[in-house]
Amino acid sequence: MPSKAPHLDHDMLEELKDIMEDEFLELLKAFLSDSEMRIKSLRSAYTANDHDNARNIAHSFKGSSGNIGARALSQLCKELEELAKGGCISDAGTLIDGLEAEFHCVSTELMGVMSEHG
Amino acid sequence: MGDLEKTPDALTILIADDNSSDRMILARIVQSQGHHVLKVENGLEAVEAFEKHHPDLVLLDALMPEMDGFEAATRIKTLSADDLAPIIFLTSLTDADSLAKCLDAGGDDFLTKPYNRIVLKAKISAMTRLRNLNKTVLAQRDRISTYNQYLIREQEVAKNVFDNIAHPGCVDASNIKYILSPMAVFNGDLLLAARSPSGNLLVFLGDFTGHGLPAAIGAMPVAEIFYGMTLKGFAMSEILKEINKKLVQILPPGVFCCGCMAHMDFRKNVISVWNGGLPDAVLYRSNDKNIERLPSFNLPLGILKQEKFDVSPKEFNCHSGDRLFMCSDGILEEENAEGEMYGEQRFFDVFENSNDPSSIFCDHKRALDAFRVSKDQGDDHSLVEIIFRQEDIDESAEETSASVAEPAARDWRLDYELRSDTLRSFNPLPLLTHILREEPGLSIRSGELYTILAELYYNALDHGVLGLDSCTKACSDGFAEYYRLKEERLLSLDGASIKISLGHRPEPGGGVLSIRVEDSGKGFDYQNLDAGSESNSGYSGRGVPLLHKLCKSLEYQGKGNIVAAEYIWPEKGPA
Repeated sequence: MPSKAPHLDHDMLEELKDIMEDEFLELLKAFLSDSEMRIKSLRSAYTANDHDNARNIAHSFKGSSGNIGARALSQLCKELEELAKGGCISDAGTLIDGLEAEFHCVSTELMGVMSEHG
Repeated sequence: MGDLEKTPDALTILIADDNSSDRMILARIVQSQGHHVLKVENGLEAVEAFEKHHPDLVLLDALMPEMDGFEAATRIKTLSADDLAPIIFLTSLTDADSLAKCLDAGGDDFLTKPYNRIVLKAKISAMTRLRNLNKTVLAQRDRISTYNQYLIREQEVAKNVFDNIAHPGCVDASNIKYILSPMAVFNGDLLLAARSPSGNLLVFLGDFTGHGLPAAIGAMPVAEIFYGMTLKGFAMSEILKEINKKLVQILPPGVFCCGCMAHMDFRKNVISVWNGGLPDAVLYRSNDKNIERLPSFNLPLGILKQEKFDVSPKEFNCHSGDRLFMCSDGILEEENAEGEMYGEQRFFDVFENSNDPSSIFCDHKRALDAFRVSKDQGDDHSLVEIIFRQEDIDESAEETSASVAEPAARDWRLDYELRSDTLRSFNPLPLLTHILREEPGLSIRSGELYTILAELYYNALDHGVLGLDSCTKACSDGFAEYYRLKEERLLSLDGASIKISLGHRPEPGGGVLSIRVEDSGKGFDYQNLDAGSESNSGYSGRGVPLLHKLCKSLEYQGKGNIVAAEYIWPEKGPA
């Protein structure tokens, strides 16, 4: 069930800005580079049909995207995690594509926030 | 803008999360609340950092590379041992099994993603309270343990002091058997036994109210008085009076000592028993295997003022091999697993069912052990058996301190007259024994000398001054009647006297002690009797055969109210 949630929760981002102060930009950069690495790892886990690894990455990605306010991305990670939990990820191709597309949207919005902030 | 709160009691908090953005957010939240942060990226690093920095709180991601949060939590809990370091699992896991796994691994709480700083703050506060509570509990535990060790050390020191006071006793004589906890004195139980100078045996079993030091404190003066006075030849009644007087003086209200004292006179074959508040003592007759119960007729020691305190004992004729049993009420109050008390019935059944007198004591022990739940319980019960049998006394061993470097015997004479008032209330024997002990040649013979003096003095008092007849004692209730008459006549005594003269002169290699006792009584017909016979009523009970044995010479003079004896030391062998 594809999520209709917005790419980013801006209230949450505001709160994060408040919490992180001068580390806010650094946080967003860390999130973006971690996420790119995760998507690469997900791809290789999918190719290798390594469902355990895919599940761990999806779990971790779910947490970090949730913390940054990327609710739709977090939701997609959750779906992938649950699929991988079932022991088979051969049908996960579409889901991973959707996840990557959602990340690009999040990424674009975050860049905007960063340039605003910077 | 930043709401940086400086907590006065800042914690050091370890954050272990492999996700760098999550780690940053969490660290920032924690720092903003005034705590110090240690950041690591996996479980292995978390364990290392914990060992190195001993953080107050650990925030642990469940799924991490190298070592996951579950394994890390288990290791951290092992490392922290007693010192509670709360662990909060960071997790987006939501199923019950995963959460249970966090708890099993030693987690104390969860924090779910996305993080909420208000929830986190509340959880940190809760964990801090938990940690402080644990610290308090541990500190109190350590204090209790320290106090307990201190108490045990104190008791050991006190026990040592007590043993030094109580050591001259003969509770380990072969005719005495007892059950008594080694630290019994702190349970309020006390067993004392000593021989009087005449070789008779005095035994005391006491049971103070209360436990611990308050119960033990009273035991010290009791032991000191008991041993000191017994050694000096004081009578049982005088020792009881002195103990009672002392305890009334020193014990706080509500603390007293139930006790039973027995005096065994092996020459006259009489046991005297005074029981104040202990369960019935038991006299077991070896010939017919019957028992006599000797209940308490008196209040415990340490309650009554001197003038109201009754020290008159019950007296019983005894035969060699008769046994006296005394016990503290801890025995009868022993409980089994069902909470049922041991009770008198079971105690007396043992006497009933024992065929062999020599096994009664062991049978009591067996019956008790079979009844109670574990052998560790009930330290405050004591049981003692005394067999009526004179033990060989190595007098020289007991008197070593008095017999070093004997100077030559001295030449002296002492005249001592006691009049009515004094005769009523004063026992001169300890004083006289003390004087004789000053004479080195006599001090090691004070047992024999005490016996001679006691016989001569009581003959003069009972038969001479008071005109009592020993035959009275022979029939049943005779003792009671005898003592009743004695008491009555002492009270109405007027113008009576006993004169005691002691003289000592040196002889080659030794000396001669002459004793002369003159009473104001009417005397008796000593002219016509055969010294060996006890048939003459005036003669009966005067212990003359014994005196003849101990003295070189014994002579009645005047109208029978004067007796003169000579005692020679060292004893002349048959040349």
